[in-house]
Amino acid sequence: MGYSLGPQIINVLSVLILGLTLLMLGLRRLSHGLNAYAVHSLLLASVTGIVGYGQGNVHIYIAAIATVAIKVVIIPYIMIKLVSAMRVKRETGLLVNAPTSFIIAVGLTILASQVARSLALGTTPFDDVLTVAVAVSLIGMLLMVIRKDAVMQVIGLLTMENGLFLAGLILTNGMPFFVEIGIFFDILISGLLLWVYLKRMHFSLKSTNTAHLNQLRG
Amino acid sequence: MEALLQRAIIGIGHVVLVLLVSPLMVNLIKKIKAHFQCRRGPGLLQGYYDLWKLLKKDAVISEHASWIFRATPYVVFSATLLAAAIIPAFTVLPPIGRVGDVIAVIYLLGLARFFTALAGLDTASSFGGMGSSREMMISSLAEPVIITALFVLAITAGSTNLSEIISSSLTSGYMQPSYLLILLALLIVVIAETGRVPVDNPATHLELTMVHEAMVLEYTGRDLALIEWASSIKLMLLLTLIANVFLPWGIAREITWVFMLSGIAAIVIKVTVLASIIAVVESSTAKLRLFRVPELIGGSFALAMLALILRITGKG
Repeated sequence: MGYSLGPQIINVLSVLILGLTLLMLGLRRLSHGLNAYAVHSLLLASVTGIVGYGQGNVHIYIAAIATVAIKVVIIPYIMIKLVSAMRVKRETGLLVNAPTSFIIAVGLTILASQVARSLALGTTPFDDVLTVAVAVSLIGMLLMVIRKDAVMQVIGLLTMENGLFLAGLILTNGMPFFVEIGIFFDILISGLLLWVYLKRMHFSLKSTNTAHLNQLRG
Repeated sequence: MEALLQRAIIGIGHVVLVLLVSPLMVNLIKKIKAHFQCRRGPGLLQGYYDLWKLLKKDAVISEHASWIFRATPYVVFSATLLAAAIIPAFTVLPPIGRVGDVIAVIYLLGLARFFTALAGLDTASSFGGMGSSREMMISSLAEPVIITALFVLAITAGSTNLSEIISSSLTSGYMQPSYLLILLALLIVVIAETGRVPVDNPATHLELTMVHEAMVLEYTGRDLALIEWASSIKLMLLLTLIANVFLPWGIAREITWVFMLSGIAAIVIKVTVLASIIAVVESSTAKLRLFRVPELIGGSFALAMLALILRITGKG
């Protein structure tokens, strides 16, 4: 496989990532959302691996492996266990319905493509990927804003992080090793913290709907 | 003169191929679905027998029906067949010359749908009216998706002519991100447009679930045969479009017997594969509630719009 094939595969994978992010907006079931996040991270790991191959850079491979370990296995696994223990199957509160959120997502993608353009790379074969990366972060933020369920908001946060990671990867062709390790440690810790948060929230409210948080009194 | 004759033969052969293969494709989907339900299912030729039987029968027409009801089967059948004639199947040459392009295809399908909906309302049966209203809701959502997707193709090829679109996807590659997005969008829309399972159920006559079947409930005999044939041609047409644009391998680029025959074999194989995919999707998903349908088609519209954005702003 030459590197000339690489950009094409990366472009296709990034488009799949974008499509999957869009799909997340339409998902109601919490476990489906977490599975979608795991697949999302797997696609991200593949992109990372291909960039690593193109750069011939060993520590990008490590980043890819860490992505698989942390974002594909550990975080979705503990979250799915938590969700199935909570017996909250699907979320109830949506601020806007799915078609509207798709349209907002399309608007955000237009914004993202403008941002990606104004970063004025132009010469790399990865224009689309940068658009996708910015769009994924924005749609992840949208997911946090329009959902009332805390689990979905966590998924939105993690999706946003995936988008930022992709943007960083494409812009810098792999960040310095210690920065990457720091990011992964950050994600792992914040995943665990959010896990504790969800558990406590469900323990005291019997629900993960953030609309119920105003009932929380000492 | 000889070239003209050749063109004429190709055009006629194309139409005959579409007419003959389309009932087979519908039956293939039925057969695969039956296999998933642990039934044996009707034989592959059952579609032809049904059409033959219906064509021999007289039509029973309500005395309250107007000319619209009588004209609709002919309008629907001829508009659909004409749309199918525009889309190249086994050769990149346009089958009926440069008469039509993608926009004509959209409008011909729209014409057929408009008349079907009118005919559903015409006999004033409550089922027909309900079917028409649902069909209009679904198609008003699905049509923008097809238009956007075809515009992406037209921008890529620099032409709205289908043979140029197919030639450009033959040369410039099919691994383009925007093509991938509109492939997904079009697959969803094909399922919605042809009344397949997550959106509609072609096999049922249960009043709560049907959309397309409700509109054509009043048709009998040869009218019904034309409507059924037209809907199978529509399925074939949309699958041919997807097959040739996204998997353009094997389509004949020169007029020789070898190329032509391999082109015919290629299109039959590609359409068979796509029909099998539809059958698997139909067997593995449950029908959506009608009010969840906008979410599905809205998603496919978003995919098509993303493809357009990537095509216009990026390298696509």
